[in-house]
Amino acid sequence: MAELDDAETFETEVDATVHEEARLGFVRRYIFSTDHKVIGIQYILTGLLMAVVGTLLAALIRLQLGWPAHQWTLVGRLLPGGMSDGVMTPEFYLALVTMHGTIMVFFFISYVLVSGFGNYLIPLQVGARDMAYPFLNMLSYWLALVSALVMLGSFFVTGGAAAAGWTSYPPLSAVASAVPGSGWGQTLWILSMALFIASFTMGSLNFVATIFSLRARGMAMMRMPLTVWSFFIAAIVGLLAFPPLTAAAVMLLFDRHFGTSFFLPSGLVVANQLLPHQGGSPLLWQHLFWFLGHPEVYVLILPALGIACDILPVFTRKPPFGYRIQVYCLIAVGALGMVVWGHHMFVSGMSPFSGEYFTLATMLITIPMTIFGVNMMASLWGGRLRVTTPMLFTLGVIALFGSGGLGGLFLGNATADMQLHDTYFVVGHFHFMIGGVTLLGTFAGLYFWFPKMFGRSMSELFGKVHFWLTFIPFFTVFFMQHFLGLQGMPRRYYAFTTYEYLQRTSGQNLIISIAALTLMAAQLVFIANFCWSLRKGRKAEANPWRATTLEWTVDSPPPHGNFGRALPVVHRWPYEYSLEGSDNDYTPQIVSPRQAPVTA
Amino acid sequence: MAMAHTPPSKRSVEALLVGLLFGFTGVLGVLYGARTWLPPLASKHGAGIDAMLMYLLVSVGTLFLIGHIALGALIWRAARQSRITHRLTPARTEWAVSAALGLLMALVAEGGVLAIGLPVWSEYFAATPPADAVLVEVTGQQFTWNVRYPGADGAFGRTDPRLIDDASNPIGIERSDPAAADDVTSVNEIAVPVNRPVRVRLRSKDMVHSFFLPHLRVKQDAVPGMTIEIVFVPTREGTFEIACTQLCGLGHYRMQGFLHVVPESEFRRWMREQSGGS
Amino acid sequence: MISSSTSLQVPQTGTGRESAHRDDLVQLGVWMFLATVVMLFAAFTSAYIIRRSGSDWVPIELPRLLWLNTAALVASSLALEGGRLASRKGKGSATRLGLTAAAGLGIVFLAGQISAWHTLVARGVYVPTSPHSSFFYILTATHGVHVVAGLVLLVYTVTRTWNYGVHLDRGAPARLITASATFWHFLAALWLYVFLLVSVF
Repeated sequence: MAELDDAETFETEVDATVHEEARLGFVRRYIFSTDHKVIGIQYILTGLLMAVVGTLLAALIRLQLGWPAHQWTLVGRLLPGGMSDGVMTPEFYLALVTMHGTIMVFFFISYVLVSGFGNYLIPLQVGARDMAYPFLNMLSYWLALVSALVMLGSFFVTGGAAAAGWTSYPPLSAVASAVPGSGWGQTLWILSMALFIASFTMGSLNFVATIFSLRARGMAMMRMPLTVWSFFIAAIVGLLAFPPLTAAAVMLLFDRHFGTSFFLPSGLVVANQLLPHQGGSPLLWQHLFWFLGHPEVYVLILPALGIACDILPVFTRKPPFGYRIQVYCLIAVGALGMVVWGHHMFVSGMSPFSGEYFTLATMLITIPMTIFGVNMMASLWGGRLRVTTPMLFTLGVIALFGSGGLGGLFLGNATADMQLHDTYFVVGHFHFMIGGVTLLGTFAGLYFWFPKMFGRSMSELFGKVHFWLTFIPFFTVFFMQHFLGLQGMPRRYYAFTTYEYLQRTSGQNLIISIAALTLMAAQLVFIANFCWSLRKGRKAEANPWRATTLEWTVDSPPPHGNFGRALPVVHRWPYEYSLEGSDNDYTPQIVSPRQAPVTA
Repeated sequence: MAMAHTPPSKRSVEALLVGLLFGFTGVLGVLYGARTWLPPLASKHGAGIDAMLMYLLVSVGTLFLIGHIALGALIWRAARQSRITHRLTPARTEWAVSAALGLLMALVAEGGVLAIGLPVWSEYFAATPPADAVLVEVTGQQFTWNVRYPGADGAFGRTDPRLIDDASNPIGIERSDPAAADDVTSVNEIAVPVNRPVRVRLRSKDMVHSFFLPHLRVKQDAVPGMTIEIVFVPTREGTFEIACTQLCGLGHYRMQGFLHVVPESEFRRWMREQSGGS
Repeated sequence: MISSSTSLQVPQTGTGRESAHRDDLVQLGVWMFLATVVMLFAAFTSAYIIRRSGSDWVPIELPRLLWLNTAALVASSLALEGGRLASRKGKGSATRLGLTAAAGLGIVFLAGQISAWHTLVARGVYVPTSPHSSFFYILTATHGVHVVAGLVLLVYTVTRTWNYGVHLDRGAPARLITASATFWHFLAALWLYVFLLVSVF
């Protein structure tokens, strides 16, 4: 009885909120909104804008490396600060490298893939009306926006943006006279990161709480889509791994501005000046940074893999291979990812014994990762493939995940890493993984859920053109960079022309630059498609892909409160395709066992 | 959806292209990769590192090729099917396949590490330097490598950062220390005799630098506040470039040094010249 | 794999909680937030231990006042626990008294911490004086920021109890009191840990 009463009161509450929503003005509905869908889309749009900035920075980097010392008069006129006579200055180059990495990792991939899709999809896919803490969610977005603006603003302060790399190793990041960007640019970088972490922590709290306690009736953990599982693991990893960087950032800020010596040792002489610092340890920063930095990789890549796993069954019309095993793999990767940070530090001067431990532990991660990747491929077996744009990008995710993962076998191995550390092999590797898997995963997700988000479909033709023009140049650029690394080309070099042994790489660098610029130009196809489809795309039905998860059971776009008067009741797992004894080749999660048998 | 009703033949043209895309990615990748190799080897322990890399290139290259061709083939097959031929796999088979894969990867990855990698690694780090090793101290600085030999007495003079003056005394040697009297210094130039072990004592006076000898497969960060010692044996005469591989500031890309590996006699002559000059 | 027999009943898994009350979620949120705080201080601790081995470590003399502050915070925790127990028995005025006292003692603690800083500054011990003092200032400041957050939650709870009473059937204040108590006790324990770290190690 008590339960019934509860439900009734709640229904009136829902009605009240729906009506209240209708009364809200434009600002509360679309700007300062607490609706998870609006917040998700806000994150996605902000992230995409940041991606445009990050891409332009990459274009400048490739101009410099493809055509060293060439005078780009026109670009010079646009950027009088960094390329006054059309030739890039080294300080501008280092700022570009640092900001490209920071923006893409934290402000593009994190925002779009994790915060954007996470916010949009989690309540819809677990059958909740909103996130657990809607107000905190709104706060999270606005903090994130401020964080992004602070980071962009750092380009315009004296000395320019931070130039110590996205890893910000001290003393370079701690001593203002070490490099021009180590002035206010670096301080703003630290502040922006602190805001980012605060915002991301709020988001992660929401993810975990929502998945934990707001699942619809019948939505057992083992009936959640892999997308939700991947957000769940990513959020837990984020919650545990990010605070240590906050601690490190606080200490770095104190070293910079209040004369402490956490990371600065005695006897530093910079620009012929003896610094007063005493006894700090630069390696301490590296440990704290990578304790965040490595798990962050999994925070970004797991959602891309989860999304890929969920798109596969839709376009093969069959359940995935090894759903449970995939879940266990995600958990294993999340857990192992927390204890392998030292493989970024094999040649840092830490004890060689730690190197041995970190090698063996890192190699363990290849086991769940391989199982995960091959299971994705095995999901194609026996299916009936529909080649659509989201599916193309999903297949691209599988290919890049395999290729990038195999590259990890080199870098996780201390002996091989001695030669490859901080060369372009590393650049190629992480662009395949946190660059490529996540980028293609983002596109797969955008093409797939665009109809749900905006009520219109994106053009398939332009989507496919976009895929071909993205995958081929992307693979070329970063595959070739692996081999530049093998030839010994160090990363973060303003020019490689000083070195005799690198002379023969200039041709390869030119090809890479041309491919990279092609890749960037190809994204115009996406932008055009996106903008055009927003206004003129074909109207989307509730379930255009004939998929089974809960978000497809409601209108496109879903109404406020998501599920109308009553929350859905879940009767089956999310992959009920081509079920024998069912009329359709798909059976949504809400279809009761009386209408169709239940697989799991 | 209109697409669902497209006849298989029409669907398969596009799928064929996609399948070929991934298949070719695998084949072309291996062909391209097979053409590339490291800068020619010039050190003893480097042979071990090269063996590790070779093992990885072959094993990983094989997996890369098989994986991409399999992906292409699976796409091609799945696109031609007009119905689902295989819906669910029994849990037991899924576990068996996954366990087999896990075991295979464990064997390839951990096996390679245990059989080739760690022995090379521990030999490199655990090696006690022989008595006849050449001792060199290298101190990184924005953007030069300060090189010092202990001279005939085999002992370095004390240093004090308070004495540092970039023009006259870049690493702050205490001239009053008797051990400092015969110290030999140079900038960006290291000479060592061929086939004799070299002990490099790495220090830094400002940023984290990294001492990279691509031909000798040597890479070690130079961290301010720490003295890190590495030992290697050059096996080939010639001049080899030293690059910095840890971002250290504006001139990071031109922080270039040279390691001259020369016959024993020429090494002695070089040392005499340097000490006469300083 | 098909197990239709068991699945034919209405599934009971999943929470299916239409109206998971906000205050219920607050408790879960507090636990997760505390996990992040643990990680934050774990990072500071590891930095402390590594830095402790440096040759330039000169211990500073900590102000005696810290003992008084500790007593205030522990007393605050006890008062809050008293108030919480009273709320479970439905004793309105005892609850309000306990909670208000807890918040008041929390403010005393904060004032005491600031006063301890003044003592150190008066002795010429600043943030960069020694790594020990750097850690002392940073750890107490970080802890203090969390205490401020805890106070906000506590004051909010106190207002709720004044406005709505503590009747169990209304549910909300009881759960809210539990959540703020969890957070507040944790902060007291965290302070004992920080105090131990900076005075013993």
